[in-house]
Amino acid sequence: MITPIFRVVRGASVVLALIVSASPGAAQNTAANTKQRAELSAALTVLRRDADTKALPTADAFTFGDREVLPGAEPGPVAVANGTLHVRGTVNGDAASWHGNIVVHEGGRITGNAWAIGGKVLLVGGTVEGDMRALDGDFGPLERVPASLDGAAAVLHQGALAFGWLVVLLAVGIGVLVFASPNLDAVGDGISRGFGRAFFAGLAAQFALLPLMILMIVALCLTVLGILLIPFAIVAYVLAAAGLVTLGYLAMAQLTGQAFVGVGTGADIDRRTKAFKSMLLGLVVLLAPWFVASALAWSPKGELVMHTLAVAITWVAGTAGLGAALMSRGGKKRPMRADPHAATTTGWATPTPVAGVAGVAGVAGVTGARRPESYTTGGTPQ
Amino acid sequence: MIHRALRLTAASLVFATPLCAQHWRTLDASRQLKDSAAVIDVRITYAAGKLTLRPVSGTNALYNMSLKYDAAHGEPVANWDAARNALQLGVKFAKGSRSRGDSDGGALRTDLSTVPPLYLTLELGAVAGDLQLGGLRLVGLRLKAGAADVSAHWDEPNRERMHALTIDAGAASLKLVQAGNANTDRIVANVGVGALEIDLGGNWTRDIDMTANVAMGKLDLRLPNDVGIMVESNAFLVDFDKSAFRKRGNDWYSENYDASPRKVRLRLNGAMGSISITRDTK
Repeated sequence: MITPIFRVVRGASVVLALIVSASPGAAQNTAANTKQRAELSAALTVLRRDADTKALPTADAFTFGDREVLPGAEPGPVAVANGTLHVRGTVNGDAASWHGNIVVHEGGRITGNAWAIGGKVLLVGGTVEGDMRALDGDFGPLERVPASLDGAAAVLHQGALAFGWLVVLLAVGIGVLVFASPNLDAVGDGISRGFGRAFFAGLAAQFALLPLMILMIVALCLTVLGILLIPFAIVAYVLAAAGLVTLGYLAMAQLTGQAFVGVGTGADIDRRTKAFKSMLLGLVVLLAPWFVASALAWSPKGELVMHTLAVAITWVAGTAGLGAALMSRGGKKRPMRADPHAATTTGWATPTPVAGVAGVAGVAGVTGARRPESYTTGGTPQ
Repeated sequence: MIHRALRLTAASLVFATPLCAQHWRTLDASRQLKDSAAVIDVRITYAAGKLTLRPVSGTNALYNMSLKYDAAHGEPVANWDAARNALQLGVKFAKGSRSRGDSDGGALRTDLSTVPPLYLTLELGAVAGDLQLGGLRLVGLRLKAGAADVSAHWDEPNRERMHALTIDAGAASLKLVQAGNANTDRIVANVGVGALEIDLGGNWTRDIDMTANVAMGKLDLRLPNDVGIMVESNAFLVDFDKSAFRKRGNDWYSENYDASPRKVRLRLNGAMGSISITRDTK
């Protein structure tokens, strides 16, 4: 009786020992397979972004280790990972390997494409009716430059562009303030005296720019020397037009800034400081819609609305500036300014012929009729 | 305070700009040839890198392509369109991507079969290219190059009559060597601000009608001694050395024109470029 019991106990012990000893190995294998599949899945996700490899099978379709397609037909896709795929029959569809080769033997046939990632496609008498691909290299997560930026990247990109424009315009503005401040002031005066007139002049100029250039070219064609000058004349014309628009836009910006910081009237340093501040502030105000549009880059509709607004504001400012720049001949023609001291001088006053009324200001506290300000040039008393 | 804020903003924008690491990959692609009778439209597009093109014979492959590319900036293109009988090869760069990565280390080697007739179009950017086109069956060739430095050779004759060889050299430096082997009856050369050198040496099978539109670039045409040339010049400020030419009507003829077994008729349009016609071929 002891022997059978002993045998049963011994058998149970062996089985138990086998189970105990086998379990860690099985668990390790499962963990390894899970890890490999996760790696494979991650790599395939990256690869499948490309149009060329979009049709790669998913990780679920892969089996690990060598595999053989026997003579006969097998539906595709057939995919192996960490092993070689031997094709001796027909794969109706695609075949793929991950870190292994695809070998198409004599009589073997793949009706679709064959992809070997980290391996080769070897034809040993067989045929692949589709494309053969052997891809190798870095399959890590990509930081590819996207076709269109989205989210924070788009906001940063657009913001950087707007900021770049601000910096460029400010640099040009400082140059104009240093070297052509009177011209800038004259254009600014032109805008402030008649914004509507400047705007419509600028609008007319925009329509006339191209016909005028054509006219200039035609005129130059009349002489041999003129023909030679055509390329230079075109460049000069474009540069002049761009210069006028820039000058006008900067004048507009300064005028906008002056609404906030005022005009320097005291010492030279005060006037310069205020001119710079008004330029900076004016540019920031005029470019503000672009910054807002860039902040809305994550939202296509919001960005479109703000972009439209920004374009409109920029165009209006540029057009009025161009008109004023043209009317003032690039700021060379200064508008006649009213003399701030004229009102206190007798030269302003027109003696009234009415008897008994003092015709001279300040004498009896009654001011006579005055000429409109725009015509007051400090004329002599009549 | 304002300055500090500006500096901080500028610094944050600079450092926040996404920087892309390089992910170099290699791709070997090929396709077996099935129909060798129909003309195949082959288009190779490559923006930056080194390009090599060779004819391949003795295999049943339509093409073999070996590509090294930066996956962070572009993706490979190897498309076969059975309906259109068209093959597209190269690299497609992401919109807005700077392709300088590929110009540093990217390379494309393409072998094309000598069996089927091909209409080949190459669209190249900043590419250093070496194209061996002799031995292929080209029925047409269009080479568009932006800022490329490309040399195309016909060391052996083209095995098909080529209807047109069109070159668009924007700002590129292009050299066609032994182009007489191209077996073409029409050459159109559009030169922007680049330089194009055409050596018409080789085995001529027919006369060539050539149109050269030179904007501000340079065209250097080299002819074999036994080839006669007629130049119809509609150029504005482009001129060539007419010392070896005779004028008949409005056109200029080389002295050997009438006696030459093979002739080039060159229609010259241009604005401000430079053209030279020499008769020594290498």
